[in-house]
This record gives sequence, C-alpha cells and structure tokens, in this order.
Amino acid sequence: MLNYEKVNQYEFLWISFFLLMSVGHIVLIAYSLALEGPHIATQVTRAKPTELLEQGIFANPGVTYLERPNRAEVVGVAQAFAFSPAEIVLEKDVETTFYLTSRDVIHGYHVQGSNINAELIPGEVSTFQYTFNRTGEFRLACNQYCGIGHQNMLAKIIVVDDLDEYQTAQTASTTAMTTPATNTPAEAVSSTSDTTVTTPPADGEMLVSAAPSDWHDIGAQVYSNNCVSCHQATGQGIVGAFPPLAGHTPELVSVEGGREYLKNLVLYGLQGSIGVDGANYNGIMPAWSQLSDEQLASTLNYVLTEWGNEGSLPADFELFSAGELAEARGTQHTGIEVYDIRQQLGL
Amino acid sequence: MAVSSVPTSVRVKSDVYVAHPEKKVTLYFVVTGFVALLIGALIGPLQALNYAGINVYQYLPFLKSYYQGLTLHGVLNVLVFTTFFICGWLLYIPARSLDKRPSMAMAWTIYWIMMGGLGMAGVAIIANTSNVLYTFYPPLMGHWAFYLGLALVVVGSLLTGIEVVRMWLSWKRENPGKITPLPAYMCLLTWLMWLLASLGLVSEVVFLLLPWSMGLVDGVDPLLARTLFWFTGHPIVYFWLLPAYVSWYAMFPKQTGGELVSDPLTRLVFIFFLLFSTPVGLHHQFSDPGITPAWKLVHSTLTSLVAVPSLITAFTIGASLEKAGRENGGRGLLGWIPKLNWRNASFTAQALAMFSFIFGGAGGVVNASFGLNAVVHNTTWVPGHFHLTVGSAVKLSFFGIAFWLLPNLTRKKLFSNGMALASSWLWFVGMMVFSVGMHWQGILAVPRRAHVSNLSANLVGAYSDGVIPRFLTGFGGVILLFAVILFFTVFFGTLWGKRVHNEDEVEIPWAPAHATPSNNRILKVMDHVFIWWAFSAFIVAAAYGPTLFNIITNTMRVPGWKLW
Repeated sequence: MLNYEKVNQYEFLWISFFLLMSVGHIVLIAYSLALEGPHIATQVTRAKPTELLEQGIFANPGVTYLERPNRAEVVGVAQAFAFSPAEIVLEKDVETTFYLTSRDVIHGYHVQGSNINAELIPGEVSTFQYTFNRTGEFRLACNQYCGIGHQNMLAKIIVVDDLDEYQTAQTASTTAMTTPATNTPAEAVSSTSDTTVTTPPADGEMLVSAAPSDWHDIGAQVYSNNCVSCHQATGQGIVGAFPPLAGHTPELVSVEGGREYLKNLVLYGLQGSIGVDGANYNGIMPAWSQLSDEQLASTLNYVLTEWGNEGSLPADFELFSAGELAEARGTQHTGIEVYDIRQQLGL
Repeated sequence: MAVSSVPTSVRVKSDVYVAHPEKKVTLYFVVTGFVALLIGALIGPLQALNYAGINVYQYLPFLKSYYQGLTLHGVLNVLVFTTFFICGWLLYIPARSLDKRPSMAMAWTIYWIMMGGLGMAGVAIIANTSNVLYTFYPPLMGHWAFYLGLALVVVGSLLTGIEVVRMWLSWKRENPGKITPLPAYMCLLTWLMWLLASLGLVSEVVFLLLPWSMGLVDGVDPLLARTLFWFTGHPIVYFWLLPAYVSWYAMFPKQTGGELVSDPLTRLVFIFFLLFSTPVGLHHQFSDPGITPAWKLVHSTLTSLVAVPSLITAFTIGASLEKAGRENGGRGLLGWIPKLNWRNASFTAQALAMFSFIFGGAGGVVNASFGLNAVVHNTTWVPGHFHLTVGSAVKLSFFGIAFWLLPNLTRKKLFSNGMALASSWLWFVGMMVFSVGMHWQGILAVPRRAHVSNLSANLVGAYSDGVIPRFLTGFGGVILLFAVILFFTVFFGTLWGKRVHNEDEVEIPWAPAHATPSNNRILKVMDHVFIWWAFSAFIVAAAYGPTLFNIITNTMRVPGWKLW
C-alpha cells in the first residue's frame, strides 16, 4: 500500500533526479554553444532603417567572396515582402558571415535544414557565421509575421561544390546574369513563365510592336517576386491597404509630373494615405532602390501594359528606360516627400 | 399584498446570489470569457486548414484576411478568454476559501472596465485596423484603440489582484497568527506574481505603443518593445497555468475521492513560481541580435529552474491520484488508473489537461534550450507547443472547472455529463493530432503565422514536402470544431437550463490536505508573502536590469508601418 512515508521518499528521489537533469541540461547547452555558437545572431553595429541607402554596406546587398575559397560575406536587406538578395549562391565548407537588417518591420531569416534562424529588427544588424557542409538548394523563409504578404516572403540559398563551375553553367543557360547571386536571376524567369508571364497582346498596338521584349520578362519576374503580395496577381490591390494598379497607373502617366512621380515611387517608396477612385489606401509602399535601374524600368513598363492598362495609355507614352531611373537616383526623397509629390499631381 | 406583487421569477433569481453576491459577478466574468473563446475557437479550424493547404478565408466575407482572423483567434483565446475567466475564478476561490466578500462595487467596476477595453480592441480588430496578432510587435502599427483596449483588460486584472490582496489582508487582521488556507494562498501568490510580471506589458503599452500609435511620438524602438513584451509574455503563461494548478491541487484530488498529499510542498511550488516565472523572458529572444548571449544563457538557466515546480506538481498530483486509485481497489503498476473517476466530466477534462501538459512541458524545454531553439524558433513548432500548454492544459482545465462551477454559481444542473465528457475527449484528441502535425511541420522549417494556403503563383509548392504533418494539422482542426460545438452546447445548455431551487448549493469540491502539523513553522515563514514578493522583485531586477539599461540607453526609434 502507498503510505506517506514512501511518498516522501519517492518525492525526494524525483526532485533530486530532476535537479540533476537540469544541471546536465544547462551544461549541455553551454557546451553546444561553445562548439557551434557562431550561428547565434549578435549585434556588431546598428543601422537606421530610414538611412540604409547611405549606410555603406546595405546600399548594395549581395554576396562577396573574400579570399576565395576561405570566406564569404552576405549582406542582406529584408523588406515587406522580399529578401534582397533573393538568391544566394555559396560554396560548400566556406565560412560565411551574414550581415542582415530590415528596412521596415521585423522580419525573420530562417534557412531550412540549417541552424540559421535570426530576427531582423529594424535598427539592428544581425551578424552571425555559418558554414554549409552539404550542397543543395535551401529554402529561406521569413518566419516573423510582417504583413499581408508574409507567406510570400521566400528566397533561397544554393550551396554548390564549385562556384566557377556553377557560374559557367548558369552563364551558358542565360545571358542576363551579370553578377553571381544578386537578386532575381534571369534563370528563374523560364520557370515562372507559364503562370505569371503572359504572351504579349495582339499586333498593331504601338507598344507591343516592340515585343517580345526583355523588359516584359524582367518586369513580370520582378513583379511576381516583389509586388504581387500587395498589389496581387490581378493588379487589383487589397482594399484599404494597397491600391489597384490595374486601371489606375495609366492615369498617373497621363498627368503632368506623373512620370517623375512613378520613378520616385518605386525608388523611394511612399508613406501616407492615398485615394484612388474614392477609396482610401493606408498601406505603405516600401522603397525598392536596391533593384537595378533596368529592373525598375522594366517593372514600370510591365505594370503599365498589363491587365488592359495598355489601352488607356496616352498616345505619346514612351517606355521607361534604365537611364531615366539612374537619373532619378540623383535626387533622393523620403517616402513622405514622395507622398507630397503625389498630392501635387491633382488627381 | 404588496410583497406578492414582486414577480416570483425576479425574487427567486436574486435569491441565488443573496448568500454570495460575488457569484453573480463571477458568472459574468466566466460567461464573457467563454463567449470570447467561442468566437476565437470557431476561427481556429480555419487556421489549421490553412496549414493543410486549404484556404477557407476566401469564402468568408466578414474576415478580410487570414491575418485578421489570426489576430482575432489569438487575442480572444489567450488574452480575453483567459483574463476574464481568471478574474472571475481567482476572485471567487479566495473569497470562498477565506469566507470574505470582495467589494462588489469594485468587482463590477473592474468588469465594466474590462468590457470597455474588450469593446475597443474588438472594434479595432473587426475594422481591419489592427492586424498585428496578439504579440503586436512594433513597428507594425495597430490602431491606438486596440492597444488601449487590451491595456484596459490588463488593468482590470491588476485591480482584481489588488482586491484579492485586500481581502487577504483583512482576513489576516481578523485571524492573527493563523495560516492562510491553502486555496487562498495559491490564488494570492498567483496574483502577486502577475502584479510584478505585468509591469513589462503595461509599460510597453503606456510608454511606447500608445503615444506612438496616437501620433505623439514619431517612432518606437522595436527591441525595447519586444523585451518589455516578453518580460510579461512568458510569465503570462503562468498567469494562465497557475489558476489551473489551483484547481489541480485544491479540488481535483477530491473529485476522484482522494486527498492532497502535501500542503507545504504545494505552497513551496507557488513560491517557486512567484520567484522564477518572470526572470526568464529572454528565452523568447534568443534570435534577437541586440541582447548579449550571456544574459540569454542566464535566462535559459532560470527557465530550467521554473520547470522544477511543474515537475513537483506532476509528482504531487500523480501521488494523490495513485493513492486515491489504490484505495478504490487499483492493483499493479498502472491498475490504479482505471479506478479513477473517469465517468465525471470535470475530473476527466482536467486529467486529460494534465496528460497534454507532459508533452507541452517537454516541448517547452526544447524551446528554452538556447542552442536547440534555433531549429524551431518561429516555426509552426511554437504554436504546436502552446496549443498543448495553453490550448490543452489550461483550456481543458477551465472546461473541467466550468462543469462544476456553472452549477455552483447558478443552481442549474450540468446540461449533459455525457456530452461534456465527449467534448473533453474530442478536444484532447483534436489538440494532440493538431499538435503532432504542427511540431512536425516546424521541424521541416515551416514558418508559423503564414498564410501558406495562399502563396503567390510562383511559390506554390514551397511547403509541399510535409504531406502527413499537413494532413494531421488540418484533421486535428476539424476534430476540434466538433469539440467546440459539443462543449458550447453543454455550456449554454447549462446556462439556459432550469434553476433548481429546493436543493443545497452544488459544493465546491475542496480537497482535504494530508495534515502536516510538524511543519507549522515553515508554513508561517511561507505566509510572509510580501517578503517573497520582494525577493522575486530583486531577482527580476537582477536578471533584467543590465539588459534593459543597455537597450534604454541605446534606443533607436523607427517609424510605424501598416502592411495589411
């Protein structure tokens, strides 16, 4: 029979056992950190999210291969709802240092099958080291809720045996790739063409006569990677938050100053409540200046010609060029200034 | 005659509450909490189906997005339901245990403050202005009414705690030299823990979020906000769990015909929780770069310590049950288990709650391990974990409590013991299946809180690797839907049932404790609760001081965003 003396004895054993377990647990944690602690993000420096463009390293996110084949550095920026770079190519067994931050809200940085799992907090720079010891393609996901398009905030890390071999193979398959592992590799275009890239509409239209064009493919690619979460595949946007692009954007190039506004909008973002067709939209447009001039110009052209927008364009409309975007980079604006520019359009 | 002109129903209705007016306000708290749970829990299966790849949200015009639904689900289930239920439960039990009346004016004021807060936050969420989830990390910016509303709910809970402390002080004055009865002692320590632990959340809302969302300041430091949030965010789980422990220790053994094996050890458990619930929050921030790894390790260590009182609880309650089972004729190693009171829904719900908590606790140890956390942090593992702890251990305990508390408060019979039993089992099984799926998907690095059933066209298939865990998650959600329907049939069936007037009050199942007279001196030391409270404040200051000082002296304010 169970009596109280026995209960007390057992209880003493039980508690002693778990106190020992706890001590062992803590020792093991300390040991594992000593062994492979560098994957834990620490803060080496800070970066103002509103001034990332001037902050040296974050103006040009990408991968740098230092003293190959020993070390590599990844400089990454997260913003709603995309990572830049969106594809990172690394060599196996190379110690890689990551410097990551966010331009807007808190994002997560979790690489499938690895110990990389950091919070990217605006204002903080998450710094850590990691060495991939197997090759393959690893999913990189934002695992911190960041808004309506959170689920689409995905990128990838490709680990290869030999970088030169990989790059040669890539260059052979596509000519559009300029540097390794910057965002939106052209290679991905073919894989998405069946879903997001539609064939150009009928002949005879002034614009489409220039197609099949690179800008359409590049624009479609950038749009599906970066814009679709908010503005949707249909270009209809999200009620109350993100304005429709279908039907609305041709209006913008038709008014005086609209063309300048659109360039500033994609480069520097917009902050403030805007009205489109009597409805208000309160979401915030992030800045996309980390994309190339060609990518931005192509995306503007893509948006202006999709979803039947093309038919509403003014007769004298000309496609945006990379040069125009490069020029617009000369005068920097804040998202609030871009909002003022929009208010002056007299829509 | 003048007297007979009072309608019988009115007179009889008030009779129910004459002896114990606190019953009425308790009933209001409890029922409001459960109505919130009903709405929140009905949204739950949508979340589960999302992780099974099925997007139901597109068919629901009243929810504008998955994230709005998730905000409602989280806020209603873990902030509103728990706080309302606990304010009723942990006001009623000390009142009955001490045989004191709370100030009814105060109790009703608290109730209406909390209702006002609930209304504000509810409207803010429904109007799609505050899809920031129940963690509301800035710089995602909700409407100020959302923050103010939630703050009022918390303020209500703090006032309830103060009212309980006041009742206890007055009991102490009337009973000098006497030891506080065990149920009241447990409630008191829970409230003292919460009065300290809530400081983080209260200061986050008052000093950071409210001025910022009202436009009085132009930004907020996200790391400071997160740190203050988790200062409260971890102990808040003990604020949910300890009221269940009150029932597990003070009533549950009685419900199967047994007694509590140790009174002093029970008090020790609650002192442990008072001391170590709060200085552990940094284990939620292992992945935050701005906090020194050394302090994260300290909090990781302290988290191991706070597991100890739960392990003692497992032993003490287990021993109480085993003793009861053996006295009912149970033989052999596990033969005492079938001899327990499994036909009683209140007992069964709480026994299943405890069983779930074994797995919840084990997963929690993984989360709190600094190194292992990197594998599961912010994946579906985490909601998988807390659906076992708060979603099963706490919720099922509160269900079990409700099965006797409602008849006790209203003098109405439980609508159906069989249906109550079925709802408890279904909830338990549903949560288990759901959680296995969620833990499993988490190990496959599927992010939590993501509308994965609505990926943009170029990403479809990104998470197709976990077919079995996806199915389990969705299937668990469907089982839970049936559990919800059954439970609330019992709940409202009881509430709208016929009053039974000619019988005595349904008794509170106070469990007798095994007498331990030799330990009287220890009990007296334990009764100096304010000294323990001061100790606890000291530990918290030591564990958080340097980190908070460092963050506050290096703040960087960033602008807010509304991205939904």
